[in-house]
Amino acid sequence: MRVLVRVLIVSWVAASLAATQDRARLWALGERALWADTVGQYPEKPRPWVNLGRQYALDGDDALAADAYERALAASVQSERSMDEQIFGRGLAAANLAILRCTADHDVEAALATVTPIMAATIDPNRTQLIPTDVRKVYVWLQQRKATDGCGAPALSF
Amino acid sequence: MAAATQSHGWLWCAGLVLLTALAYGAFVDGPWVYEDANWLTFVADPVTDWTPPSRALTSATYHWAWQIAGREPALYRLGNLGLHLTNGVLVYALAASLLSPAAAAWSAGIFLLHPLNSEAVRYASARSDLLLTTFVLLAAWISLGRFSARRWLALALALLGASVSKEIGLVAIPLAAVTVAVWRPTAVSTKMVAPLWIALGALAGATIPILVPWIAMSPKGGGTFFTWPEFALLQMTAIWHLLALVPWPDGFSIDHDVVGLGLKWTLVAALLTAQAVVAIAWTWRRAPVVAWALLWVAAAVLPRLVFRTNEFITEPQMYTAMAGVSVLIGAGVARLWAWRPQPSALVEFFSGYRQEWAMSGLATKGLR
Repeated sequence: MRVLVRVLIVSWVAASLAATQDRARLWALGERALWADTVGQYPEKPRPWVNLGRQYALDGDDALAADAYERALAASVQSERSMDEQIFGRGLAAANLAILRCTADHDVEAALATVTPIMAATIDPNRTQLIPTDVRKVYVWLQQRKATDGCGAPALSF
Repeated sequence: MAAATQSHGWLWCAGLVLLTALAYGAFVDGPWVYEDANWLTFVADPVTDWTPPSRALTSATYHWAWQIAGREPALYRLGNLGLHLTNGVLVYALAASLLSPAAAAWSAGIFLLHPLNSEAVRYASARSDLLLTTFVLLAAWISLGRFSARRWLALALALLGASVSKEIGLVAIPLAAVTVAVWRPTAVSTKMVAPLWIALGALAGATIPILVPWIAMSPKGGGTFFTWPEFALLQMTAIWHLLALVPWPDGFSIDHDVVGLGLKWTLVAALLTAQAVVAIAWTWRRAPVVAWALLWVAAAVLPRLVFRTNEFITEPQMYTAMAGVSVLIGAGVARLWAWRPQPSALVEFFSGYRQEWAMSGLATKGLR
């Protein structure tokens, strides 16, 4: 019995040490690896998808970024998600997707179509907070893009 | 003999510190991550308002690193690692005041090497939690010694240091108070301690105007849409979910899905909280280390239940609480490690029969 107890303790110590090393190694790989790990664990949560999409966009993987933003949008409209997540997730995913459509596809109309429904949602006075404000900024920025021929803006993080 | 055992404990502590330095030292490189970018914008221009509670000291440490290494991450991470190693030594010193050297070494080892603390060590943005914990551990350790004017000054400085490391630095006051109340119960009522309570009360009172807006935080200003009871229940669930990673070291993440955990987790969290409250009352005199460690964890996470931010508790924010968790588990593991099973009455009863049978004619004649 005593041996069994000690074996269990040693196993727990070994498992903890291995996990510490794994985490340190993962953090050294950078933010993309961290968010990829997080969406693997919590695919229903909007924020990891928004932030993974941002990392893809920064690396120039536009198709992967668009897919991640779409998944964030899909996750954030699920009824079981909190009001915070629905607002932040939907707002930022839409804003980032719009920026991507403008910068990668040079399709300002498609970009505007992405954020316009979110703008409508901001009519609710309770929802006029930070993220819809960012969406509004992106909306205004896209309208300015219509008049000029350049699209270039960094993606937003959640 | 006791001194020799004590020095062995410190040798173990030194070995654990070295092992931790090696475990993390290989990974100081790597790009900045997530919220680090926010802090990078301020490194050249540190916070100048030192009125507690604030992060002025944390901001100053970023600024010092920036003056030496600019925006290269390695020095910032080495700074975090240095603070973590210091905290490991402080956990050992604190635990050695309360437990055997072996239990203190287990406590320090758990604190230094458990993966739940890895994000706080790796994340430059988590510097405030590391620094706050340094001062909190110092304050607790100082408060366990014999009271003298010099110790009063050191304790006051440690509490002040905590209050300029992070906005929730005032948590150092209840943590030091819990330590004194559990381990120095006679000192609490002496006149010697009265000035401390008056000073701490005045400090806490002076910061109330700063703290009240955090309690009434609106969704527009970084607050949440959850009502306070909903928020507190979910936050409690988040805390227990992270604590569950201590015995079962799997499932660490930069972002946990608290909302997705569901009602089952919330019910378990509520039951565990109730059980912890009962355990504190029951062990207060019988096993003070258990009561102290549970109160330490409770006091460390309490601000997270009160301030309704739009974030649930994260792994680095458990760092201060982990000091209490480490001492609790370290004490338990040391006992288990040294445990020698005593034959139960039932086993002895049957072993008597076995001996009788072994001496019988059937056994001695090989007729088994």
